Amino acid sequence: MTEISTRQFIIIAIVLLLASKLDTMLAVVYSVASTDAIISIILNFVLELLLIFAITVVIKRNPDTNLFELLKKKFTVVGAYIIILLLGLYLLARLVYCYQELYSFFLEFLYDDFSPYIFALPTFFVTGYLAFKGARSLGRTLEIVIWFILIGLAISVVCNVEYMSFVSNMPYFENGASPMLDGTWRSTFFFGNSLCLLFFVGKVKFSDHFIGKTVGICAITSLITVAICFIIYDVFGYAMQYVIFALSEYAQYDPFILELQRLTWLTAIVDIAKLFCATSVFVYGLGQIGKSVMKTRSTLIPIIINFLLVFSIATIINYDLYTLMDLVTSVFSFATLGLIALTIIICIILMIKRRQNEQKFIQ
Amino acid sequence: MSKNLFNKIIIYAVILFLLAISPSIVNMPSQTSVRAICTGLALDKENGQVSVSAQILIPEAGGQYTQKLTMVNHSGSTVEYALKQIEAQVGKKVRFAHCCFIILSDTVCNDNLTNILDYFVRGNNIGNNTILIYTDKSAKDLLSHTSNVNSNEVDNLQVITKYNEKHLFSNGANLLSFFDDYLAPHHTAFMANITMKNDSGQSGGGDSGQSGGSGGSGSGSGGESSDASSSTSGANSPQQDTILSDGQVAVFYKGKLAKLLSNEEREQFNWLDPEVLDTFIKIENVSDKVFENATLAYTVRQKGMKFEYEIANNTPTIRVHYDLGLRAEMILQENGESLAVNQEYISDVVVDAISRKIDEAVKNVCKIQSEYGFDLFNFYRSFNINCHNDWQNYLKLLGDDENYMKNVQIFTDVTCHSAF
Repeated sequence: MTEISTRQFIIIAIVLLLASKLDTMLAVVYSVASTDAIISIILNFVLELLLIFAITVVIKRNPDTNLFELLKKKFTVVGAYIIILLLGLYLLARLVYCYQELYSFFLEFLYDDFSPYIFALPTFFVTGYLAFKGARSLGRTLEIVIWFILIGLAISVVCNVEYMSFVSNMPYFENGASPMLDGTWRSTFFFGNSLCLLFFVGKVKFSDHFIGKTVGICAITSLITVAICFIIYDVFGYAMQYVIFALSEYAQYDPFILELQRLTWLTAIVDIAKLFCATSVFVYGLGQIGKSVMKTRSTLIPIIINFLLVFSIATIINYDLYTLMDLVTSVFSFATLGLIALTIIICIILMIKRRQNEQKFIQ
Repeated sequence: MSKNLFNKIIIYAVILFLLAISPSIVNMPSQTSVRAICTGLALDKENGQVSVSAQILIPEAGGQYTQKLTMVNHSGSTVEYALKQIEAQVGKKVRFAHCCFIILSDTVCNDNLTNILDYFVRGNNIGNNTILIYTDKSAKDLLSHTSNVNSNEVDNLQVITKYNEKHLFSNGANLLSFFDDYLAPHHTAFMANITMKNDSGQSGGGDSGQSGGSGGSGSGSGGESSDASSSTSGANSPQQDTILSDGQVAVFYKGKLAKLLSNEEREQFNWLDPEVLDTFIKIENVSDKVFENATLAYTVRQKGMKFEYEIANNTPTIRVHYDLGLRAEMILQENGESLAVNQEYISDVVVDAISRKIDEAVKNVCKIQSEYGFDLFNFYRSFNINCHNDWQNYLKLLGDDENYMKNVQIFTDVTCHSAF
């Protein structure tokens, strides 16, 4: 049953934590919360850490079963289907956003005229193949790619630190708490990535202090991500609303870096690797849902159906990132907030029921 | 059995779908045949229309970066329209990923610049770190001149801007920083003034609207004019001109050109910028136990600055404490004799004279900022952070958020030590 090690599980959690956080999300939050954007981000990270904690506890306490079986046992078949369907809808929306983000990134930084078909073919193939091969292959791939992401991220961040003034967005709460709260709930969509970790129930080989290690490393990752967000906000200041792909734009902020195109490529590779990895995890999650619902032996068919759905949705919205951004910052963000709250409650119920069962067993 | 068949149908459907979209991938023209690369832009205003000039490199297979650049110009009611016409002229899509700078003439800067630059900052084509350069002459002529000398690194706009940013004033403007400053409460941005002078020392590069610019202009529909030419032509023979930055800085308030600071004024402003080092300070008629009526010049090697903000009696006050590390560069006696003394020489009289000089400079900065209303050092933010409530009360009492600089006072306190 076990497919990935604790180390691989933590790396998947790190990739999910980083995905989209340093790209479009920063501009979205800033356009709503203005100078208080960083506080909104901190609040959402706290929420995501709570979610990670709840999920890791559930994973730890249920080593012998998968998510669908667990839900069926505790919430009946209908309940399990409803929960799975909600998770599936979120993942599908997240997948569409991730693909669109990746496609827009290619358009903005690499090719100014790039057919969505040409983009779709290799992207769907690579991410689909990774997801199809299962958690073990996914974990191993991410174990290698994570180092490129982290090193690239470090170089991208360090190169323009000199432009920081530390006070660009101060004082905070100048217009009360309302912009910050508005920014928080409108960006929750980006902080539900960790819901994907639920699909690793029963697939992790635990090491000592599994929960502590996972939550601790995720907390450190969150702190570092918040620090990078702070740096980016500080450098761009009030012009942040014009910056869509924040990390890449930040890495090229110094006008003289334009002379060396290498940095553009480095940040492009980091962003692409980050998004590819996260997308693969989303596809994996959707594959697992499809497998449970359609009762197929392999995840191939569910993955193909998901791709067709993603492609159809992207065609309907005309491959426009801004349309998607409008959608995710309104209805979808509110729904994600609800879904995260629901997942935390479900995790708590699962923990309580498990404890009651254990006590019954002892008696 | 039926499940297997269903699986196979799906797989065949996907393969068919992939095959159907494949021809569009194969049947694509080469990038060089449909793209032209813009390496620089110049914006002027003629007869109420925006005149866009683009320095264009048309890529050829096996071509080199140093191949000849072409200047293409078109006017239109909007930048977008003019750029579309330029594309029509070139017959290729013009792309701006390699556009290093946008030169803006004073005719453009007299109106709100953000109306024009908004097109670039929102568009996905141009880098947000593209350098903005102001010129008090024709932007088109300056760009045309750089087309000739592009391979000469010394006479390159980028090199000059880079030097300026490092030694004359900190943080020059790029597209995004301009918008950051424009949107911030102090609404003040600045950029270098780069001009041209000919061999005789006079300013070169006349108004291209009047002189016809390079190649002469033709009429387009709706009064738009256009021309495309190699950069070597032109009424003013721009080859004889030299690109020059004499340290002038264009200050923008609310997107419009507020004042062109002279070199002397820019040096005075630099006394409030902790990041600008290697400032040269000259004091005259110094008499102490060693010298009589001497002229001394020092270079500021270290610039320790501490700002204190307070609002007393509804008057925002800034106290700047300087701790300067100086090195004597030149000591000249009244009789013209140069005295060989230690470069560490600093006396109380010298410190007094330097202190007076800095105070005078800072007072002049206050006067200029109060007169034109701009706030080059974002004192708004500093007051807002350091004395938030008092500052908000001050603004409320003032009733006019925009003229807050008129009551701001700056006091200085200078200590000096020798430094190498």
